[in-house]
Amino acid sequence: MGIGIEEVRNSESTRRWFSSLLDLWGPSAVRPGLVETLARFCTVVEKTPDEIIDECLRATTGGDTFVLRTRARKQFMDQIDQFENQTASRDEANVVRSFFIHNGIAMNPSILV
Amino acid sequence: MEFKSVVGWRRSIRFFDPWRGVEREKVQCILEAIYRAPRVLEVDFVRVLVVERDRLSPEKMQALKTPTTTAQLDMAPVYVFFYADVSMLESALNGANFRELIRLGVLNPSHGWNERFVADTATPYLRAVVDDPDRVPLRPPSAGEEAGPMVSRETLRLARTAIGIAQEYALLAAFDQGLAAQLSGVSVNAARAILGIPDTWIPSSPMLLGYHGESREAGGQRPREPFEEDFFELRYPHPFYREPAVVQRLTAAEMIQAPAPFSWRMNEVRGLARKFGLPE
Amino acid sequence: MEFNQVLGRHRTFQYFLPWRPVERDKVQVVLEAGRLASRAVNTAFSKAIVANRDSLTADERDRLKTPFSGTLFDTAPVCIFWYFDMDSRRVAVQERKWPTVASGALVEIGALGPPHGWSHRYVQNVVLPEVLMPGLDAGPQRGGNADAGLAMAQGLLAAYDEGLAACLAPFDEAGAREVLHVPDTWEPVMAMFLGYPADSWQAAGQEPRMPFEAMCFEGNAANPFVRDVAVEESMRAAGLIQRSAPLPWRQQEVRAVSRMLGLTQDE
Repeated sequence: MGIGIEEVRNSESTRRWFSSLLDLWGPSAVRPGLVETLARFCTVVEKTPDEIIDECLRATTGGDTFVLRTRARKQFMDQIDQFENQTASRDEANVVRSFFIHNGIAMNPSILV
Repeated sequence: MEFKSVVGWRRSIRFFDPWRGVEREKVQCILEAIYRAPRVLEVDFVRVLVVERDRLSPEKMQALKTPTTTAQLDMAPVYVFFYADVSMLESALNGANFRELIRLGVLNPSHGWNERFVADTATPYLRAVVDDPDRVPLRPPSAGEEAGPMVSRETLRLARTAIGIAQEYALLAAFDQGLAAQLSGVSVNAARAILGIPDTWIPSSPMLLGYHGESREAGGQRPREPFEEDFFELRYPHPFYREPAVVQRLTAAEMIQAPAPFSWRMNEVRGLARKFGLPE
Repeated sequence: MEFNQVLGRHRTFQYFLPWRPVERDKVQVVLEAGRLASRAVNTAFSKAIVANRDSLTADERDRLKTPFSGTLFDTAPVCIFWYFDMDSRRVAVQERKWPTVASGALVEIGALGPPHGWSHRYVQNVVLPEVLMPGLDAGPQRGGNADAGLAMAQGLLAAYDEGLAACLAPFDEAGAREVLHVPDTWEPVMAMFLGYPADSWQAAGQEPRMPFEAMCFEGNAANPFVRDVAVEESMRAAGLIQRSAPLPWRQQEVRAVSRMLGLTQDE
């Protein structure tokens, strides 16, 4: 299943990610290629960006707070690690991790030494 | 270093150079400092445990991590764990520590200290803390494990105060040694299993230790609420007046430093993300 | 003063010159130091009330005393009552008036950020509901707080650095609540007595501790940290390790100081 670039670009979680990048780091952080990288990951896991985030964060009854689903988070962490191996690129994998983080899902890889 | 400068340069450092180990003698200097810290009611609560990151297996490292402490634990080459052994309060009920201090001329009859005072007043005071009826389990129940033994909240109050004092001595001693440090979170249950911690030891945040992987400024001194929110004079809520000339003196002594955020901090953090291969 | 000399100066000081006041600026330095201590989620757990002995009536002082602090309240010119504010986490989470993790300030200033997995959304959607809010419904919980100890310890060291003698001792909680109008949500940490020493800076000498190897471990809790004597010697040279109690003249000093202060010398 392929996930279209425009679908990724227009999803709420992607917009939220870009808004947070802009807010925290400034315009240079929203650089070309981010959507394409995320779209490649979405294709690998066969899920849209919003589906990915919804799997990791379950809204509470009131809907204004969330509960982190640790098992889902762990699965995605493993899939990002595989994605990093496949692409042989820490940078590309970190783009995906950044998408998770700015959507409220803590995530960090081992450091590069 | 001058004391005030050490206080001023201390801040929670979260980026360490992972490739640079900490000299054993510097670790010992920190332990020597903790060893000299005041005891709470002369009870020997504090226990300190030093762990070198590279002596832990990948599985143990993984077990210690929490969702947001992965990078720090990977970067810091040394962890210093702090515990308080609450059973030491019970041990102190024999009054031996007080008697020793009387013998040495630390506690004296001028202040009421003598054998009878130890037996009739000082140790019963400790006994009341141990026996206080407001009690909680030392450890909440967790998956596959029962709750720990019951202990009075008063005992915990003293024990946690003792840990805090030790942690402060440790942090300052680390920065005095030119090191970087931070009190961080780890999985408490994993640490207990990995380090073989006895049932009567209560945990607190371990100190991560290493050399600065970021600038010493680390973005500036951390912000605080107004001074007058925390300090009062004679009767609450009359605030303790903050004299600007004193602030000026402490600024000159480097104890009070330029507050966060520095204009270049976010660029530094992005640079550090690249330095260590971490996400932005 | 040099850092290790400040740490080495610690004694359980018991004798203060009752007639020599403590300069107000030195008290402020103690508080400023406490304010800068490390603290979890950048929250103000530590609070303190300063009282000059002479601002308290004899009756008020009596109500503050415990068996460990009776004479100290009558002789030390200044007492700082250190507290743990059990309501501070709720205030940080619900009011968000000051720069804490709960307010998002630490992400804002670059202390915590995406390289460590943090973002504003993580704070608001996960840290707040899963870490900071659980348990708030139960109200203030007694049982101490290490951060309150951290702040007090940094204040204590600042007192030594300012050339003051200091001593930590418990005070009467109920008495303090009445005399100082302490909020119900504050739990006592310790009273810090401040003044100029009536005895020498060496006092009795450095006080005994349990064996180093019974307190400090390496790798696991059964393996003592092996102490290198050369490091010990370097810390002695730096002033951290000083001559142990008892100093040979201590009993004479205690008798003389007790006479000077009008304190009992009866055994």
